[in-house]
Amino acid sequence: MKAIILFGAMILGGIWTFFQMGSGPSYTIDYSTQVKPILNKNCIACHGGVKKQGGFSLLFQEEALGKTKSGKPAIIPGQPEKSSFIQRLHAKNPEEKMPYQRPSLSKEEVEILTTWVKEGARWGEHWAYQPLKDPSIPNDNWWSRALAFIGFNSGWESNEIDYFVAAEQKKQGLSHTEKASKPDLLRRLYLDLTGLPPTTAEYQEFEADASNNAYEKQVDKLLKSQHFGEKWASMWMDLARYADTKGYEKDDARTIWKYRDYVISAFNQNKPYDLFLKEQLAGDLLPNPTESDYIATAFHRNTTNNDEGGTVDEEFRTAAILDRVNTTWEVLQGTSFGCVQCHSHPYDPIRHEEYYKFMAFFNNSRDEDIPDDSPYYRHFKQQDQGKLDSLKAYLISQPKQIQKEWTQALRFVEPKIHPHWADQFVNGALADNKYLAVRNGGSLRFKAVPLMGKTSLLIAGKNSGPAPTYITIRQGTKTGPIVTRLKLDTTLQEKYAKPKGLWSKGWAYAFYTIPSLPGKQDLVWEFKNAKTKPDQNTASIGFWMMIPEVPADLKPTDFQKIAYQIISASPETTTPVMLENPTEFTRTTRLFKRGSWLNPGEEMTRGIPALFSKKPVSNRLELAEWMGGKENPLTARVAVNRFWEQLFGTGIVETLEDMGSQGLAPVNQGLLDHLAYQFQYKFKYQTKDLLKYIVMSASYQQSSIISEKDREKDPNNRYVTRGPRIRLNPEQLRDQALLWSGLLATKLGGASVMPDQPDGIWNAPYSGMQWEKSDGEDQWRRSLYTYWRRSSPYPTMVSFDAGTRDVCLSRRIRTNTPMQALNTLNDPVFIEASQFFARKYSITGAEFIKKGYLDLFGKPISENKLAKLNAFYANMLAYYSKNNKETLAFLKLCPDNNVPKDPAILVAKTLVANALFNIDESINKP
Amino acid sequence: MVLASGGKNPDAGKSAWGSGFLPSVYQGVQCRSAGEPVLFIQNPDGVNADIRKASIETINSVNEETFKEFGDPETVARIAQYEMAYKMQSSVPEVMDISKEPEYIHQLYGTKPGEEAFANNCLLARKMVEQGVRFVQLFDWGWDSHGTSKSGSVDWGLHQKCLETDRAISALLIDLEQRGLLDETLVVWGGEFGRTPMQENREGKTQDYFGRDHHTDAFTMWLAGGGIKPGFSFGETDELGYATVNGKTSIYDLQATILHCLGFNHEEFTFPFQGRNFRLTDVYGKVIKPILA
Repeated sequence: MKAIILFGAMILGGIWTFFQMGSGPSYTIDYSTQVKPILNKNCIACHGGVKKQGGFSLLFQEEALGKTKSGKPAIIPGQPEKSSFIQRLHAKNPEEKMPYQRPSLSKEEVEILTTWVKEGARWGEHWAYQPLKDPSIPNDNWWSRALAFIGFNSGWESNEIDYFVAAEQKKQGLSHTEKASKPDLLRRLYLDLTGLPPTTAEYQEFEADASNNAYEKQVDKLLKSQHFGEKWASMWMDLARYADTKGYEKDDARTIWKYRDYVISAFNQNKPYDLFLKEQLAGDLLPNPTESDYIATAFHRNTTNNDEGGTVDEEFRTAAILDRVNTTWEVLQGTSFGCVQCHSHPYDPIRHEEYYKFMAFFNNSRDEDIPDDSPYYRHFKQQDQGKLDSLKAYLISQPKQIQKEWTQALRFVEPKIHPHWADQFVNGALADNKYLAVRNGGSLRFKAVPLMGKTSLLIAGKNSGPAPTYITIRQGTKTGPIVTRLKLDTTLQEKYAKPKGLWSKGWAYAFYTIPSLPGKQDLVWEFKNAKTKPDQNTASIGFWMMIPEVPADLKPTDFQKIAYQIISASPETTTPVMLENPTEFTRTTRLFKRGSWLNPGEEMTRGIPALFSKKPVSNRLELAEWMGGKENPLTARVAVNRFWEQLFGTGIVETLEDMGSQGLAPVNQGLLDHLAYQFQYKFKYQTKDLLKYIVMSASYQQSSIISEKDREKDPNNRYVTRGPRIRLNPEQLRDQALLWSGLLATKLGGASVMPDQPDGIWNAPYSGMQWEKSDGEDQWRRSLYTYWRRSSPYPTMVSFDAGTRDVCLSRRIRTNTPMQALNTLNDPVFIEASQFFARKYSITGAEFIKKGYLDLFGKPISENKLAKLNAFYANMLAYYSKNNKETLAFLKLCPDNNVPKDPAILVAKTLVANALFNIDESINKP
Repeated sequence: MVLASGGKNPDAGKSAWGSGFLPSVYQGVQCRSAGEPVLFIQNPDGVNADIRKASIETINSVNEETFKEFGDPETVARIAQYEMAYKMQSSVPEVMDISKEPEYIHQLYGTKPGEEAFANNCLLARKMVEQGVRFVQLFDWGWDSHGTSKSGSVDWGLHQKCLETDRAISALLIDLEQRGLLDETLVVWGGEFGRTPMQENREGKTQDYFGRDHHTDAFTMWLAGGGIKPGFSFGETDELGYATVNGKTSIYDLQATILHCLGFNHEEFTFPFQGRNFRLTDVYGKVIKPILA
C-alpha cells in the first residue's frame, strides 16, 4: 500500500516540474528582495528622496532610468558595461568610486546589481505594496491529508496556519513542539483573550471536560466575555495615544474616557475592523452620525494640546494635524510617513507633496489647540436632552443644511470664533495666548469672520469691573459704520448660565441680536468701561459665535428660547471630537517647505500617495473607505500582524510600525498574507473570528518548552517552533494580582480611576492637579481604567515598558530589569493583593502552598518547588512568631485592634503569596 | 540616576529622563528625596533585609526549577535581575545616605543631611559617580524669574537660587578633582533656555518685583572636567546680551560634543527607529572643537 502511494507522489512531482519549465523568460534577480536592500543600505542616502547627487535618484523607476546631470542615464537596461551605475562601483579614482568615500560593495552585491542591469533593470514593487492575494496552502492537498489520515505523516496541523508554519520550519530544518498541557494552555488562552488568568473553578471546568471540543468551548466562552474588549482595548490605547491629560508643559486634565469605552465595546461587539477604522477616522462624516460615531472620532483628538502661556495655537494645531497624519500611517498602515514631512521618503516611493495632499484630509477640522479641547460633544443631562429632542422634532422638516447648522450649534456650540482670530490690538491683548483682555478704550479686529447674514450673536465672556462694559462693533475699520453696541452686564454671571468645566475661566454666555451682514466681514470691537482703572481689563472674552437663524416657519421665540437654554446648558460630561469646518470656515492646505509650518508653499488638494491609489479620494470618509477597501494592500496585513504579535510576542513582520522597505522582512510572508486575506474576505474583518482562527491553530497550542536545538536555531521563536512564553504586560500583571486576591472590581467602563500610588509622583509645577485615591471598588479596577497623566504615568506602567502616550506606540519593546522586580515585590498594590490572597485560605504551611499554586496555575506544584517554598514558609513563621512587633507592623495593625488569631501565620502566608506572585510562572504566560 | 530639588519635578515630567525612542531599559531612574530613595526599593514595614533576601532566594530557586522545565533563557535573566534588585536595595540607601560624610565635606558643600536641596544632590552625584553610576542628572526647580512673585523675581528669588547653588556646584568640582575623578567626569551646567537682558513687565503693569522673560537667542552653559579645556570661554553676544555675534552653537552641537567626550562619534552612533537609523543628534550637530582640551 505504502509503495503505491509513493509512486503516485512521484508522478505528481514530475508533472509539476514539467509545468514550471514551460513558464516565460526567467530572471535570476528580484528587485525587491535582492536589489532594493543593497540600494537602501548603500546608495539611497545620497541618491533618493532626500538628496539627488549628480541628478541621480534610485527612489522611483523613472528617476533611476532617467537622465542625470551628465545628460545620460546612469542605468542602461541590458548594458551594465555602459551603465555608470555599475562602472563606478569599479572605479579606481576615489572621486569617482561609489559608494562615495565608503567601503566598496561586496563581490556578491556587485554581481547582483550587474546581473540586474543585464536582465533589463526590471523594477519591482515592495512586497507589502503588492495587492493582497490568497496564497496557496503549502503541502495541503488531498494527498497529504490522506497520508495524515492513515498515519503516514504527523497530522499535526489543525488549520491552514499550521501548514504555513510547518513549511517554513521545514525550510529552516526546524519542527514544532508537542501540545501544551491543559492548564498551561488555559492560562495562556485566558491571558491572551481577556487579559486575566483563569480562576480555580475555570481550571477545573476545563480539566474535567473530556470532550473533543473542550478547548474550542473555552475559546468561544472567552470571546463572549466582557473582559475580551478590555484586553484588546488596552492594546489599542497605545496606538490611539490615549491619555487623561493634554500633554506638554501644563499637562492638565482632559475628559475623553468615553472614547476608551467606545473601543472596549467595539471589540466586544466584534465590530468589523474596517468599520472600526471608519468610525474613528470619519464618524462625524457618516450620513447620520450617532453619539457613538462622534465619540469614535476622539481617536484623533487624543493628540496633545499645548496650554502653556506664550505658545502659538496655530503651531500646536499644526503639530496635532501632523501627528494625525503620522499616526494614521504608522498605526493603520504600518508605514513610516513622518520623514515625508520634510522631503520625499528616503527609501519608499512617496513624494514630499504627497504628505501634504494627505494632510489636507485632516487639515479642515474645527479644533484649534484651545484649552477646553473644542470642539467637544456635550453629553446632556436628561432634561436638556429632552429639550434638544423637542427642537429636533421641529427641525426634521427643514433642509439638511439647516439641520446640520443647528446640530453643530446645539450639540457642540460650534463653529466658535476663538480669541486667536483677533489682530490689530490697541490697549488689549491675547492674554496668556488664550483669551481676549481689553482695557478701557481699547480695541481689536477680527479679520474676515464668516457672519453669513446671521443675526444672533453669542459671547462667552466675563465682565471684570463693577460697572457694565460697552462693546461697539464696527464694520471694516475703527472708523467704519457701527454695527451694534452691546452691553456686557455686571450681573452677567447671575443672569446667564455658566457652563461648568469647559475652561477654567467659566465664561458666562450672553446672547445678542445684531443686524444682518452678508458673507465674511472685518469687525472691529471697541471696549468702553469708564469705571475701570487704566491698567485693569474691562472684560475678557473666551469665544464668540453666530447662532443659526431660526427658520421662519417655526415659532421663532419659543424655538430660540429653548435653543439658548440648550446652548448654555451644563453638560454631564464632554468628549473632544472631530468636527469638519463648515464651508465658510474651510482651510486651505499648503505644502510646508522643508517641513516647516512657517514656510508654506503651494496649495495642495486632498489625495492618497500615487503608490497606493490613483483614484480620487475627496474627504476623510472616502479615505477611511479606501483604507478598508479591496484596493488597499496594507490595512489587513498590518492588523493581522499586530494581533499575531499580541499572541506570539513578535510580529510576523517584527517591525509592526514599518512594513516599508526599511522594515524587517516578514519571516513567513505566506502566512501573513493568508491571515490578512482570511481577515479581510473570509472573516469580513471580524476580529473575534480572526483570533479564534489563530488560537485554534496547533501552532498556538504548542507547549512552550524550549528544546536545546530550538534555543540555538530559533532563539526568538520567529519560526513558532514552540508556544509563546512571554512576559505579561504591566496591565496584566496588576490585574492578575488583583484577581488572585479577590479584590478585582469587574465593573466595565466609566471615568478613569486613581488607585493606590506612592506620594510625590505627581509633583509637577504650575498645576493644581492632585492624585486623589479613588474610593471603594474603584481602587481595584482593571489597569486599563487607571488615570493616565502623560508627564507622569502610573509607576508600574513606566517600569514595564509602556510609553508616555504623547505619541502612538506601535510596539512595547519588552525589557527585564531590577526595577520590575522591585515593583512586583514591594509595590503596596502587590503586597496588599498577596495578603488578601493569603486570607482566602484557612489552611497553612505545605497545604496552603500546594492549594495556592494549584489555584494560580491549575497544576500541581513540583516536589522541589514545594520544598523550597515550604522551607521559606517555616523560616518566616519561626521569625514572625518571635517578632510580634514586625508582625503587627507588616499587617499595619495596632496591638489591640483586629489582630487575627495567628498573625505570624498570616504574615508567613502573605510572604509566600508574594513569592508566588513573583515566580516566573506568574510573570509570564506559559 | 535623576535627582530633583527646588520643591518640584521638572515641567516635562518623566519625559525629561525618558528613553525617547530607545527601549525603556535606557530610561533614567529618579532618586527621591522624600519617601523611599528609589520607588519600591524599600521593603514593606516589618520586612527586613534578611527576610527579603530569603524571599528572593526562594523565588530564584523556584525559577531555577522552572528553567529546568521550560529552558527559557529569559528565566535566567530574571534570576539575575532579582539578585540585582536585592543588591540595589542595600547599595542605593547606602549611597543615598550622606550623613556619614565627614564634617569638612558638609562644610564644603553646605549640606545638611535629610534636606531636599541642590547641595545634597551635588554631594549625592559625587557619591554616585564614585560608585560607578554612568549618568547623573540634577534638576533644580525655581529659576523661572518672571518677576511676578518674590521667589520668582530677579532681585530676590534669583539671588536666593544662586546662593543655594554656587557653593554646592563649586564644591562638586573641587571634590571631584581632589578624588581624581574630574578628568574622567564631564560636568555640564545649563538650562533649556536663557532670560531676556531687558526687564519683563507682564500685562504692561508695573510689577512689585523685577523679572526677565524667556529668551532663546543667546544664553550660556558651562562644561567642566573630562575632555574640556578649562578657564576658557567660547562665543560672544552683542553688548546687550540679546543676540549671538560669534561662536553661536546649537543644542545639537552641545550633544555632539558631550557624545564626543564620552567617546562616541555622534554621526555613527545610531538606533533603528521609524524606518531609518536615528542618531541621538538627529541630522544636525558638530563637535565644538575649540572647547576641547
